[in-house]
Amino acid sequence: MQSLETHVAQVFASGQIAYQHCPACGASQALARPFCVACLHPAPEWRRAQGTGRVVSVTTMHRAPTPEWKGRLPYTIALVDLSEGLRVMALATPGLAAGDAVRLRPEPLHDLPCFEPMVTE
Amino acid sequence: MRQAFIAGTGLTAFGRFEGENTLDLMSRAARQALADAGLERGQVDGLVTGYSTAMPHLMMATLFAEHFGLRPSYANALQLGGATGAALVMLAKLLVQSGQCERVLVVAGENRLTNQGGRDQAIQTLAQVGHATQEVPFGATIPGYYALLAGQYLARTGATGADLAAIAVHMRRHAIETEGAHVTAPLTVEEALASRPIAEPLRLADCCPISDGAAAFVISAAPSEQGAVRIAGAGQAHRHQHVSMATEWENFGAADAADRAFAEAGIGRDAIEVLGIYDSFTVTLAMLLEETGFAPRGQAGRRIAEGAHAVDALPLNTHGGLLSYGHPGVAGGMAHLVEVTRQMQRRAGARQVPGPARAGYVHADGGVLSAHVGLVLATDRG
Ligand SMILES: [Zn+2]
Repeated sequence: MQSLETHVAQVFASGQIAYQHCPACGASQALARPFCVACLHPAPEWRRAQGTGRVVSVTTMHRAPTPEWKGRLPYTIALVDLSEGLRVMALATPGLAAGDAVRLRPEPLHDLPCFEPMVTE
Repeated sequence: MRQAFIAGTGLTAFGRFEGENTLDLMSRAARQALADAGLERGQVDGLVTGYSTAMPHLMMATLFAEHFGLRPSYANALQLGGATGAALVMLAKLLVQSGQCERVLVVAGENRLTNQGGRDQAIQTLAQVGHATQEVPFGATIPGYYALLAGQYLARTGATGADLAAIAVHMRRHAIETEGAHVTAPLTVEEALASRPIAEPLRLADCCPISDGAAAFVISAAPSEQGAVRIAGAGQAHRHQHVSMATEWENFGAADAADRAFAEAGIGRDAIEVLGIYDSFTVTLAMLLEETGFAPRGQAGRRIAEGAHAVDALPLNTHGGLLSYGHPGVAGGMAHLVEVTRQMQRRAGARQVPGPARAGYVHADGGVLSAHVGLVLATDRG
């Protein structure tokens, strides 16, 4: 649905990640839909991920799908399990490995959310 | 119930074939399959086709029927990514068993390599199996999605890049022996590990080439005179589309599809004497071989290096697989079934495995281990 896609992209552009939460059954979903996939409730609510999680897997890309991405090589893509219990794809800083604790960088990268290592002070 | 047999096989060489389009390549494979089955076009009453990224069309089956001069009473084109070919054979089996059709032509092919835009266009098109708003925007590609699986596979199982490289070497050795294979330069584990990174941890040697080519079958109620190979069982499973939704590590759907196929066939894994397993990337082969029950978790590559899938053990992708025979889309996954069928018919020439090859298993996946189809083949030889 166009309005959902627009919302997801706008939140991405701010460097953050949006997900949906169902007021009826309490389920959360990472992929936006105009309904809750668990119970088909028609009005899941938008939430912002707090931005922390753990790396499931990372890949550093050396072959790009488009001329735009070719100019950004090499870049790193991660699958991250968010603290909210959802798995998402996003960009990542180099050098991360599966199991690493991560948080979203304050600033987006290429207008997209980007994970960096969680630094413990 | 009626049995469904593989009555004819057709397989073109895979590689670079300038000037031949989707319909040209499909026609070549279809001619071969009909000749192999000893049939004329007018004897085909069913036609099932895949899709072509090089020639997108709303009605591929009807388009091909007109082009090739067929007037089937049943036609259908279906799309399940890399699982399409095996799914077409399952559909043809159901059409024959139900009595809807007597002889179904299954055909797919395309000039994915020499098409306008070539490799770059193919990579961009294929990336679209990712989620349009929540994966594709991050610059992911098919190798990228599978690299994210490979990263998990290596981290969870302790398998190494060298284990994956052994899979690439296995396919290359077989391709060198196979007429028509796309990539036949000798390859060692060391060379595979030194090949350029594509999407880490996957390197060039971990990735299949993009090829031109086609494959075809005739599925019939009557067996081939060249050796009766029966489709004894078929099963599917579809548990996710996108890699970010595949959160159950132990179950991508491959085991479910295989279990369904073996249950229908009424035989166990231990009866299987030849394998054709989808190998778009080395990690694809490893994960499918393990989840379908033919290797312990994390050990597929190591066991291949140790000879578990040598021709005198449990032969695997003896034509060279997608990794080296080549990958022109739907036909790429059909080549495994062509090879397993010919091995079971004892018509594989210099590649003929020494064992009896009385029963075979073929598995294909589409997307990112998203769509699964398993086929159990039987000869009923004692
Ligand atoms: Zn709900």
